[in-house]
Amino acid sequence: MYRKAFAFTNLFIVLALVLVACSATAEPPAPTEPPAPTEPPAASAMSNILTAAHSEYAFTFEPTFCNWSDVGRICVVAYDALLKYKPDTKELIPWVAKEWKISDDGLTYTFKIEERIKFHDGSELTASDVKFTFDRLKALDDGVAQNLHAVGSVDVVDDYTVAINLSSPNAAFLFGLPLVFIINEDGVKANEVDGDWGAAYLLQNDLGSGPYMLTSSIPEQQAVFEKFDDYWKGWEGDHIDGVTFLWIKESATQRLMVENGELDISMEPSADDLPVWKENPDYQVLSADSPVVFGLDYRVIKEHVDNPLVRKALTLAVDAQYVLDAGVAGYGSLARSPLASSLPYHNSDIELVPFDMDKAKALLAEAGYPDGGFTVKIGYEAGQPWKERTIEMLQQNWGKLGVKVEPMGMDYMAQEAMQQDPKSEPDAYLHHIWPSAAEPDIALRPYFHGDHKGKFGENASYWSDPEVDRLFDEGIVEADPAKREEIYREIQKRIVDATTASWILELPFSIVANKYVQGYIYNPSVHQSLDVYNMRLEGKP
Amino acid sequence: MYLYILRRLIFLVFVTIGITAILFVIMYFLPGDPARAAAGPGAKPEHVERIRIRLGLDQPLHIQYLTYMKNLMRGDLGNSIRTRKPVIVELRTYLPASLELVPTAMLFSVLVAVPLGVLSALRPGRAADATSRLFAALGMGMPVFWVALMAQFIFYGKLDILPFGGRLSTGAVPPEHVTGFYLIDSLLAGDLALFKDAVIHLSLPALVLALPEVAVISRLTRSSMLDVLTLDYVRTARAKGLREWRVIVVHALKNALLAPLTLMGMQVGWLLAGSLFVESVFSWGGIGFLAYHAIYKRDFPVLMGVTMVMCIVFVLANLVVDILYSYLDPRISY
Repeated sequence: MYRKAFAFTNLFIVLALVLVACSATAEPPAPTEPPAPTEPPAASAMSNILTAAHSEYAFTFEPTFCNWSDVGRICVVAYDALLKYKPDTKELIPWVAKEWKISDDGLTYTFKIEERIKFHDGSELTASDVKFTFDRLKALDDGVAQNLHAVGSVDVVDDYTVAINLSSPNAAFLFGLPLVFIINEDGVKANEVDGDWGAAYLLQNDLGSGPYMLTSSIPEQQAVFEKFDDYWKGWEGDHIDGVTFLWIKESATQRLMVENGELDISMEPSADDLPVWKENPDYQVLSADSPVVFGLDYRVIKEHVDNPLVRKALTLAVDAQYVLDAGVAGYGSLARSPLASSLPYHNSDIELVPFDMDKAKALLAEAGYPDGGFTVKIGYEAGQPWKERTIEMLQQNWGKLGVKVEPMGMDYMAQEAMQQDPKSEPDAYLHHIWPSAAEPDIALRPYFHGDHKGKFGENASYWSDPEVDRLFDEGIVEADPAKREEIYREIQKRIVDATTASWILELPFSIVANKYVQGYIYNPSVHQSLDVYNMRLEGKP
Repeated sequence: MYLYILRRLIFLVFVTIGITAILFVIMYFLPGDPARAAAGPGAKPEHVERIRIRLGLDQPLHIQYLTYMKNLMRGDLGNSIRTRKPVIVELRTYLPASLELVPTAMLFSVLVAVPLGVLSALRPGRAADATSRLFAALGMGMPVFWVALMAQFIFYGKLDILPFGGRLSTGAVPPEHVTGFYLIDSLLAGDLALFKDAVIHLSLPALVLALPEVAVISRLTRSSMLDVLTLDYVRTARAKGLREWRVIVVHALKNALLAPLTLMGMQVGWLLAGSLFVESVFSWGGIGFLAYHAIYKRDFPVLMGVTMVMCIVFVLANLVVDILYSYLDPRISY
């Protein structure tokens, strides 16, 4: 008996140790509101609440990281930026900044800001908060700070005027601003711990002025936002009362939830399901061309593909229409240029490369390979249907030219390591051009300027052209939009003429929504976001 | 006994040091640049370099390891490369979810597998045995990922009797953080509705996770019981005229449980690590999810932290098993 009691005492001690180890000794970040006893919300209470599911969890509610799409979608509902990108006109429109002017030397941008904006704690947004936001980003040197290296200093002119001084002229500067979300200076200072600029607090709280404020969150499951009654744009008209973001990894689960009426929007439907959704009158597939261009990057330092004629021949044997139909269910469009048509200065005069096997064979012969006889190793991140379909298509079509395709599936980080090593095996990569802002210089420079050769996610083809480099350097300081457009159109033409890549698709961004969801517009400047304030739920049960 | 426990805990320290060293070397040579991953999309090279220096990734391997161990001695596991949060905060956030899920799954599996194993040993070739074999075939033969999706499809999608996943209902506010275990925290908050909600959400992922365990444990219990039932002391017990249930439950089962118990100790660590697929399907923010993100983004500090937790849980689970041995078999002493 004693022995049993002894054994159980020990067992209890070990279990208690485990439990104690898991309990917090230091205070974890607290939820925004002290939680009250809770019943799961009734269906009727959800009738004007939008519920949307994403596959990637927003690991913080800190606007510094809104260049990551999982955090960016949070920033859009909880924060405001100086300017906003208007997708349908591809221009910047006033937001927190009601007007702005640029000095003649292009170095000083002076913004007049709205005088009635309140943060979620009721305090007023002033020029001091704008300056603090930029100073904080510079100090943290992280996330969106990477788009602000041109910023030298920020001066408060008066309570509602702020001047941003650049260290050198930068015509792309304004286009980075829709991602700079203004943060509450007093709120950060009140919650700062050990000089962390409020970073720990912002892991589970928001300090914004946006239309919705964070009320609770569960890691990897959900974040709940309610409307901010004092939002400066007001609530007149038809608006949504709140939004709940769920993180559902599997598209199959997102589909089940939409069908069960528990989800209004599935942000990552499976491409295979899109035709089924389209046929169902209760749902809508909302699709737009994203700024992401998908293509096959040739590493021009490798044998065979270092020959422009070979690259052109192989490009003629790329059946992009097949990838469009089989890889993304017909959504999206064929790519003609590395700059997506949803971005300013896209060169629509560039002709699509036709799929022409006879011409491809003739050109390959002209290049000295009448029967092919070589292998192209293609590195790609496995698991994305359009990439898998592309590999299948290339194996078939290039095989007819006598060119063997050796696919090298790998994960994202392994691909990164290989791209940075010029001696690594692949001769080409299936690659996305994924701009960090809706601006042509930001979109193209990392991929095609000679200074970015061999950097992951950037100039992986190792191609460069002194004339293109010169045009980039001219374009970034050119203030006249018409002249800039000319420059970037020429850059695109030269890149396409050199066939550094086979451009395949402008990837679509497709979501599935219940039919009562209205007002959704895709915004390429904050990928995968929902402008909930301008959306409506018409007749949601 | 206390000396034995102390010895095992000291052993745990050496195991942890050994594992950190091995893991550090493996991760150092894995392809992929954590600084680049931390810098985010479109980061400029100079920005990546600044992050590399800040994280100490520009240092040689042995310096990085010594720095890590020095910080570890102070209880500092470093900061996540992906989220910038202290690893200890990440573990505190994610571990309770797994420690709720895994023991519940283990409890389910024991409650089903042991009686099933005993019944199939008592009636070989009959209905219980056939059921046990079916469980074993299903549990071991079907990938847990697929089972999870199917369970979700049936119980949520078609029957609509259980939630799709998550730890609480959509829109529900979690209980105030005390332990991080929603079952415990909701009770501490006196919120029975939330407790019920948490239990309901726990049931399906735990059942799915338990299925492969049911398969393994029931088969092992069966074979172990078959062995024990042939032993002399069981025959003697029957000859003494003891009731059959007493012979089976008190005398035979107690000894037959030693082998399944050993397995359960081993399986706890596996369950914790292997819960990733179940957590992924059911949006269960546990340590498996944390490990997945850490591997994908080469988030070495988090991966080190997760591995250490796994190691500690594994050793502690086996310590519990050792203690239970002495209860089940009085001949075993430490």
